[in-house]
Amino acid sequence: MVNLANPSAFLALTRRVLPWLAAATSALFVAGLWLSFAAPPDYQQGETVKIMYLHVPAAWMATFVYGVMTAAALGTLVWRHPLADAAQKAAAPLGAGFTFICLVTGSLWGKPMWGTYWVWDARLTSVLVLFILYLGLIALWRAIDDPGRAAKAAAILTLVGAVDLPIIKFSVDWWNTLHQPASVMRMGGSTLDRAFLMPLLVMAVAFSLLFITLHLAAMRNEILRRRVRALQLMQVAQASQRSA
Amino acid sequence: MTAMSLGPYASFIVTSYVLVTAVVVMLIAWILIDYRRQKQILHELDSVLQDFTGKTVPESRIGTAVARLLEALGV
Repeated sequence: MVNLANPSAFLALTRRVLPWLAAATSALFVAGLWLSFAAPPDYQQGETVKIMYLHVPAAWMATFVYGVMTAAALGTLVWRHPLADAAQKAAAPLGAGFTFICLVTGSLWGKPMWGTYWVWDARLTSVLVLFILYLGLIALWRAIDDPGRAAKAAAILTLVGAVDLPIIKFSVDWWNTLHQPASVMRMGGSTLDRAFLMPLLVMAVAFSLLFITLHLAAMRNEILRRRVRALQLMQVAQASQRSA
Repeated sequence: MTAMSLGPYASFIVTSYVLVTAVVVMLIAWILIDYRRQKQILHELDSVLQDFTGKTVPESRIGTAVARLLEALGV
């Protein structure tokens, strides 16, 4: 584990595992999509239940990715580990992507089921805040040139924003929302029939593997970007020596 | 599976799946393009820095690498 925390060892690891992860992710998406379209219509939602096989996993990933970023932010601030910086920065666009999918698919499901694309209820609003947080973090990383300073600033903002996670989770319990309460991850087990649960879980695993694959690949890019920066600084030093 | 069998809200369902595919493809493309770009810059800088060891560096590569360096420094 300590060895894997070394950027060079991490690059070697990603070179080995990324092709396998990509293949497993693709296979799970094929299986998940097949199960989704083979699943029966819901007695209330009809075929629109198929949107849920995208919306629910994306919603889980939106919060999970922020959880990963929160852990990485602690790694940056407490242990000052360069891989934690890379993990934070690489996860933000992926989290924004999952949150965007969650918001738009929810909206596309809401119109035929609720009669509206959007309501300002606690669950929807808190997820929108999460999306804005992701965009803010991406902007912050781009605004500060020094990667070390950017990592610290982003880590602090990430930790502050983590307060949104329990709000998202418990918003449907704390307030009277149009959004339904949890039906899979709840005390007493899932209320979903197996015919709907299976495609949902397979798609959830596919989304999770997609995140792991893309996150490792994006972290590899961040490490390369840092190497580029280090070489550029060496280049400047070399040029200064020549001109002196 | 045809759009006809997806019921009266087929357009919402199809739009959702198309949109998710587009977002995932964009994320994958962004990562692949970024990877190729970083590897290319690294390769060019490596060539320039070999000069430290006394190896000959092609003039064309120095020009490209220095241009990227200046661009990175905002000069």
